[in-house]
Amino acid sequence: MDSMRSWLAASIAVHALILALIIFGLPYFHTKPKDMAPMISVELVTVGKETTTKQVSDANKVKEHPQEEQPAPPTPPPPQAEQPPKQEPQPTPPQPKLEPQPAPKLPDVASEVPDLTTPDLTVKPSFKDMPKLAAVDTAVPALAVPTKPDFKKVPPKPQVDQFQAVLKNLTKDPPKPLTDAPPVPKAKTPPTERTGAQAPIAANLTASEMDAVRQQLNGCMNWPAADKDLRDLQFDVDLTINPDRTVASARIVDQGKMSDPVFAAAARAALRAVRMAQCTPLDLPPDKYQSWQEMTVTFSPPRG
Amino acid sequence: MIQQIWSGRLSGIVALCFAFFAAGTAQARVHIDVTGNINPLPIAVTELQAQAGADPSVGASISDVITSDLRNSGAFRPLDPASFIQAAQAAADQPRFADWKVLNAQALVTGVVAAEPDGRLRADFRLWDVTDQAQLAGVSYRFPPQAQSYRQIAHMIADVIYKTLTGEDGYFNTQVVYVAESGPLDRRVKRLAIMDQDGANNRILGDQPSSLILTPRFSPNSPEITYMAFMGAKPRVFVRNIETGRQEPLGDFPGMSFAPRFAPDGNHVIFSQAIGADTNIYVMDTRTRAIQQLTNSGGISTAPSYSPDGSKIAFESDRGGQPQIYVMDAGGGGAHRVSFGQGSYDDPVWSPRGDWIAFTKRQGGQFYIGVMRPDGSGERTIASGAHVEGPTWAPNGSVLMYFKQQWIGQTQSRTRIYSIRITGQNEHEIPTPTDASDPAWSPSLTQ
Repeated sequence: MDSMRSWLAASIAVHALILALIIFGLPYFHTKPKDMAPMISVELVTVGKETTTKQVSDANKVKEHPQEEQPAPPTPPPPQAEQPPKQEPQPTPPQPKLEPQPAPKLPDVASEVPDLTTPDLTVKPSFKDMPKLAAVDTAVPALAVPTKPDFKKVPPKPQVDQFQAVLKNLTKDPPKPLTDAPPVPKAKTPPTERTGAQAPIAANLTASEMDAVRQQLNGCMNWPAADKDLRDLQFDVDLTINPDRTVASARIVDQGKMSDPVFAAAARAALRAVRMAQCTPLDLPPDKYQSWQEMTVTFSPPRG
Repeated sequence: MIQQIWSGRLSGIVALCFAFFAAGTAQARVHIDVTGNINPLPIAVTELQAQAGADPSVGASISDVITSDLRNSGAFRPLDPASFIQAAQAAADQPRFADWKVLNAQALVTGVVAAEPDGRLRADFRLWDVTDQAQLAGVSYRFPPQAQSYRQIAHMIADVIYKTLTGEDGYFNTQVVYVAESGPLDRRVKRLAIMDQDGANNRILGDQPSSLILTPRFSPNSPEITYMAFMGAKPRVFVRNIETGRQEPLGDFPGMSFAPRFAPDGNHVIFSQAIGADTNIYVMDTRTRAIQQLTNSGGISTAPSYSPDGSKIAFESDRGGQPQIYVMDAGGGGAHRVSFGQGSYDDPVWSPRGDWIAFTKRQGGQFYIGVMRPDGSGERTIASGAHVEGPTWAPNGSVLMYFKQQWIGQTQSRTRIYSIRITGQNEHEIPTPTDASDPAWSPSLTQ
């Protein structure tokens, strides 16, 4: 019985094939097909639903008008729905640190000049002692380097403790709890909302998501204007990123080259770039924390 | 049978899908390539604050010179002090980095100037990384209370900033010797003058042997220059100490001697001598006065310039028909042509870093200043004009000066010295009180 069914299925398939050959294979008598357009090679790239390349696509805004009429693209709504609730917690309490205030608030900041116990000063423990100055005597040798009474208006130790949590996030070696105890409920919940077929794709960054963060970092990286040949200066920076998309730690992979002052200056520029206000937080999809919590950025100078 | 085959295939497909799924969920490290930009670095230079009875104008003067140096380098974009939020005094006590971040400053300069008990002044300066909120450099200088000292201290501070943030040595604490020109073009007076690299402290050197002096060149390691002076109709090579003013001819040669330049050791001077129809290159040990001829190819070989390691010499020769650049061993021999572009090439000058040779090029009635690799590759022109000539390197090998003559009608011209990065960017005139030509950049004066 079973074998009869399979023979029947095979027979149907063969007949369908013959029918298809008749329909598509016979010559087309009425009109000659026009010249074939040259083939365009297309590379398929996975593009996520929540694309984050709004800024990148701004350059093509002329094309956006017809797109507005098309209800077809299913992508726009989800990110707008997701982002507002996530941006709200940022200005609130979590980190009293590097957030630059918008321009209108500047007068307020200036009025706080005498207040030396601002978060900025307590973030860095190195401010307990102003670094020593190298002494250069243009005429008489060996005068003592001045002591630093003026510079000792430093935050007392208790304040450092007060910001211990902040310091932990900024230390170059990320504290283990960050990686061991995954504070990533967001990353785990979204996949359950998706179909089984979408889940593995969503766990990785899509091309457009990677392009978004690349564009963001491109805008922050400013190479030193050294006229030495920059071609040899390509280097990697390993990043560990907090769930809030701020950089927890950044490390130059090739430490051996730091003795070269031009390399060191370029490396410092890269470390500045990943912590710059324009790159904080990084333009990464918040629900894919496990994909980007560890990242390697290769910096290579522009050509020409 | 078919069923078996199908079930086998099915399990294979399932296994493949599973493998795909597993690979997809494995967390590979994200890798991103970033190119970035090369733009002038935004920097905030605050006024050095007066303390302990110091004149407040001193700190202001120092800050002005630092700002000017950094801006003129083309590598920095000093921010307008009117935009500063935190007061300079407060910043000198303790920078509040949020205030500087708002301005997009990436680096911050703070400091104080104080009077010392011995009558001198002390300038403490600190360079801060605004993003990292850390001190990058801090130096304390003591100096006599004279205007010239303020400028020099400012140049030294600018050198530290430049070195720290670009990785390359600064070139601000340097001087330039040049030829100050005056009088009508057919009876030109050309005298030696010296100035700071920014045009300040300009003065004519006293007691010069002639009123027609050309091609001054600095010693790489002593306060000496060598130059050519016309003694009547005969050019001769001189060496002069710019601190003491003592000068003497290099030697008494049978022919015309010209185009002198020091060797990297400072103890040898290489020059050209014309005897009969030929011009060849010679080197003299200034201690023993021993002389050695390095070329003997016929025609003209001139404008020699050592590589910084002293092993090679670039020079100009017309042995192939028209003037081209050649490179030979320091002892003579092994000469080979390295310039092969259109036009003729003059005045090769080897970079202090050894990576480029600068030159003057003439093609189609136009002059060019250019650079090429020592093997002749990578040639590019960086400046041009009806008459541009005489490139000289900053000691860090990233900036050139040259002179440009611009005609005003048929009988008058304006000749000035210009500075330009070897990228061709940031070309600007160096202010001089008179026409100026043949610049020669000193080594760094910072010990």
